[in-house]
Amino acid sequence: MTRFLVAIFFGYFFILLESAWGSGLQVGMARVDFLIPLVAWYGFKTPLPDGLFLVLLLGILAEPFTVLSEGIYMTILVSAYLLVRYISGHMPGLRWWHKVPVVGFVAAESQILAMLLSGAAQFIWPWAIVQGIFAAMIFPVLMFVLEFSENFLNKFLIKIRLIA
Amino acid sequence: MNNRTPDKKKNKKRLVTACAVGLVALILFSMVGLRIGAQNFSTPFKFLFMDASASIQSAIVRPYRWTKQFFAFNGGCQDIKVKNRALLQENARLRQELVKYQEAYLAKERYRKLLKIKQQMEYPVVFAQVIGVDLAPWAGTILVDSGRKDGVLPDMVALSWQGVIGHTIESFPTSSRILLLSDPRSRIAAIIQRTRVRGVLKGTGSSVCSLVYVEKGTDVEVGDKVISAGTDGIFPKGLLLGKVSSIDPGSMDGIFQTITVEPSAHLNNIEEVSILLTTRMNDQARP
Repeated sequence: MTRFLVAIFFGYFFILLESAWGSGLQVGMARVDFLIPLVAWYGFKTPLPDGLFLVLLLGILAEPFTVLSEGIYMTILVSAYLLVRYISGHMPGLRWWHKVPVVGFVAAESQILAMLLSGAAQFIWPWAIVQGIFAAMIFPVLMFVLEFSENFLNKFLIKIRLIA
Repeated sequence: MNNRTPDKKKNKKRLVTACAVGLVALILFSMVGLRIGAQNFSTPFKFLFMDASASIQSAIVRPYRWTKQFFAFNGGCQDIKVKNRALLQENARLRQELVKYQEAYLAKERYRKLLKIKQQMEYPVVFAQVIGVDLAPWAGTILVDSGRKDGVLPDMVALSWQGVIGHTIESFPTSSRILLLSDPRSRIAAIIQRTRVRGVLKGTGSSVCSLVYVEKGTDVEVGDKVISAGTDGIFPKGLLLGKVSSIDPGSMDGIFQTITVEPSAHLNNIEEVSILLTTRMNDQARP
């Protein structure tokens, strides 16, 4: 539950941040995107079917912030989550540095899917790859922040229960 | 042996006493001589004394000077460091102030130009601030902080002080989404101002647009102004869209030429926009 709360809070915060600071975070047709690394982090830790609820909810939250056709963001987030589940299911015991290239690959794949679905296939090369590199770069930091927040929230809730 | 030793000691004592008395007398004499100015007599002694004293003094004073200079230098350095830090802080503060004033001045200039547009337009105008961009980096839309409450509806023209930037495609109670000229979904009926050649201005996803459906052989030159034709039901006639930046005659079997148009407004760094309440006007005009 705490992981879900952390992911939904940060997911919404990142959507707002990317929308507000979008121009500053953008290089060409790629942007420092936090959503796919967040979904990947959640995907590594949360199995189906629970994980899907968050991803669908994040997709619903992201839809109003884009002009892309309805359902595209939901589709790419779900596909990213499922891909992470598939890879982690076949490679148990992944260390964090193993996860970095996986996140990069998943982010690039998601970007390619989004570009194809929105009719912007001309930007796939090189921007989808650049997007993947961005995601791989920010994943370790993001993972640290999310893990820390989850632990903090867990401890906080335990304290509240003890006080109550 | 025993008798001699005390005599020797006595003699030695007398000699030392005599020397000491002589030395004291010499010093006293010298000092008195220096004081009372017995020039002729005391001058050689004085010179001798002063020379000796000067040598000793200079030897003594040298390390003192070095020490003093060392501490003075360090103290000075510290002082300079403190002053330098204070000056740097002052400089940073003044720079911040300057940036703030420049920002205010630039904002004032932009608003002045937008106001000028408002005065020129026959439609009511709403000003809005850009509050967000699209989540997809390749989609050319922006979110502004004026919406239905301010009278903004879909299909209204959005301008910056430099020219047309696009039109509203969605409006919410307090915000609206504007489709920029550069978005691949954007299509605007346009004409070349000089020759009245018609075409459609289409977004390419990058910072330039292309004017399509312009037949080969028509009179178009680089630098020609492209304005809205007023036939698409959204953009009033005569709004500046951009300038022709390059012309490609295209392939032999094609019937159209490829014209690249540079938008008059810089679409990547828009901060304020004015929205023409055109649809509203049209709706009110309708019976």
